[in-house]
Amino acid sequence: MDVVINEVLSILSSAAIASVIALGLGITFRLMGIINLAHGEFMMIGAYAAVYAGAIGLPWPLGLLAGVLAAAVVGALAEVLIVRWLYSSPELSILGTYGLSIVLIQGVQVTLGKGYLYSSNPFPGAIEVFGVAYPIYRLVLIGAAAVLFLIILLLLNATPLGTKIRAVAADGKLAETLGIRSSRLNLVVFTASAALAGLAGVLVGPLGNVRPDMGADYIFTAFVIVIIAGNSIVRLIPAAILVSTVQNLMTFWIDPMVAKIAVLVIALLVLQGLRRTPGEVTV
Amino acid sequence: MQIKPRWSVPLAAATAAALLFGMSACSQEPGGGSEAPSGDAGALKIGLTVDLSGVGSMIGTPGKMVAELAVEEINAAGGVNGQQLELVVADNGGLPQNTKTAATRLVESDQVAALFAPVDSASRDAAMPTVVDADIPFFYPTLTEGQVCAPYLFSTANTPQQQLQETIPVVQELEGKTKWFLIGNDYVYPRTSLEAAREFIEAAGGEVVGEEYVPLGTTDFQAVISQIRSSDAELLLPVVVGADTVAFEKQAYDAGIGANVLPRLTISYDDNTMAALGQDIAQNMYVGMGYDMDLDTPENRAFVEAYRAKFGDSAPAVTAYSIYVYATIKAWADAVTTAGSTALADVAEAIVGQVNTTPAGEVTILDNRYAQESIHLIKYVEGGEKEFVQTFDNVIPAETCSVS
Repeated sequence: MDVVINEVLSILSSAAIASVIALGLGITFRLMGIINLAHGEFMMIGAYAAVYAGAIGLPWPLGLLAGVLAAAVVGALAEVLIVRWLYSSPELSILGTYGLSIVLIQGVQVTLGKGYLYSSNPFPGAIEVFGVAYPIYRLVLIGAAAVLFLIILLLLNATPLGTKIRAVAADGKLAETLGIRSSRLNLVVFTASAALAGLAGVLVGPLGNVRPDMGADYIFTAFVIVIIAGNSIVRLIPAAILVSTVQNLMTFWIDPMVAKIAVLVIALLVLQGLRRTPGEVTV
Repeated sequence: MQIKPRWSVPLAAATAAALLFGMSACSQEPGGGSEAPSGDAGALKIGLTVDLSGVGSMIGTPGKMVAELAVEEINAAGGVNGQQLELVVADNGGLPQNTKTAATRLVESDQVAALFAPVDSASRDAAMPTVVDADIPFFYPTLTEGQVCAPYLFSTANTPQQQLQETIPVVQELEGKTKWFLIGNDYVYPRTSLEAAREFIEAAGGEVVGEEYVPLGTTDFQAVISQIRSSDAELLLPVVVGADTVAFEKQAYDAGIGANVLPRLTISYDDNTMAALGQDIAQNMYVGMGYDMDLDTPENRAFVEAYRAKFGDSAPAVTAYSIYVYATIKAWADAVTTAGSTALADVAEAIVGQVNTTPAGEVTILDNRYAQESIHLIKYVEGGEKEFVQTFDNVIPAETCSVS
């Protein structure tokens, strides 16, 4: 029984991290048609900002805020300078954001160095959950992911801003005829996505290390989740849980390599099975 | 009517910037730190290719520094056969294809008399054809899984078998435990290491209760940690490398199976890794390696003093990954002096069997071009302190291959 509870919590906390990363990625992909290969680098920016904030003695919540803000600023600049010009073509967005990711990684290497930075755990220790000792920080992650999804879904579904964003996502030109400035909304959405990446970067810091090329390790799973979720933001949650379940259980019972392959196979099956047509966005 | 998007200017700028950064990252650095001016016709050149810009720069940077120090000391003592040495450094950026280019440049353009390459084994293999054509000695002075032998290839650092053979029984005895869990990244070095580990554990009356390999770049170790916890392992032998080390150890510590609960014996965590882990996580880890900067021998004290004098107190720690660069350049210089020649056959004849007194203890290169050397069992204890548990001298590398 202890093993079951431990596995369930492990899957949930893996899913929490993956879904927060996928949330930012999914928002730009599904609402703007931008495949953002620099998403992992926005995470890295957030993680660096938090470590430096901690180094000058700021408490963790302010570090979190610093990470979110730093990534949002870089994201907004990237939208204005690069991404804005690529909306007409997903292929160009791949090339443009890939270039951006290289510039960000090398820029950080040149200015801040290549070494690993240490991100300490703000909630060390474990707590008993149904008789199983489980790291507190992992539980915080699960809670944080749940709250984030709730906020984003409410924002999209129950506010005027959300309605406008969905209108631009469905048909930008038509929305313009209704008096909606789609370019301004795209800037808001892309910046929000970068801010989410920054937040994710701060959150994963204490689980690993902070280094210029850290983003690449997280992006693979996040893309798979976005693919499985299809044209839906809310479906990112079951998709993240599905991927984490397969990855954790396959690793536990069979082999980590097999687990990684299995996740890819699931993404392929979902793509084949649903044969969705792009366009309509549900949230 | 559709308005043509004006993407071309910013995109071209971004691409150009990316290309520039990419190029600067793999650029070659000529004449790194040599005393003789570049192009000095009288100087004898040796080549060093290291990773100064990629993931391996934590090894490459001190590797380059100790090479500069070795060349400086050799020159101060009169050079080699009356000739001053000049070190030519080429950055490989951690990539095999760049290593090949770097080796080609060093061999063909700089005409180096010997090539030293403390790089990953894929990069070593990429440089090999170039070195064979040039008919010069090729020194591989960093930790290696072994298994590759050639008349021109001298692998002078520790192999996993050397690091594990003597240390496993001692750790079992000190801890009074025998059940091991083996975990490594999924590539040749960890697999070879853990294969050797299994042999020595069983020979020492221990038992392997679990073995797992994770892909490089793993960020979530929870499932593996659950596996370790649900086995009845009492000791852990992790050959997890690079960034994965920190992720694995942090998560294991948080999940209640840190080294304080489950003692580790490692062969790949060096001083830099331990610093990245922090002293709480590092506590109770045993390391079996050929070198540590805190070794208390006259040779090492002199070396550390010279290193600190030249590069300052904030210079990166020299570890078993990089010290053999220093030791090997010195050994090569002695062999050239003995042989009176830099030709491969002459150097090989002189260097095999030559006993070298180095900061890492006595190093003797054997017939198969691997080295017999000392292994130190070090324990990290409270407060980031180190305890030198035991030193094993003259540990012989296994004959996994031979030079015909």
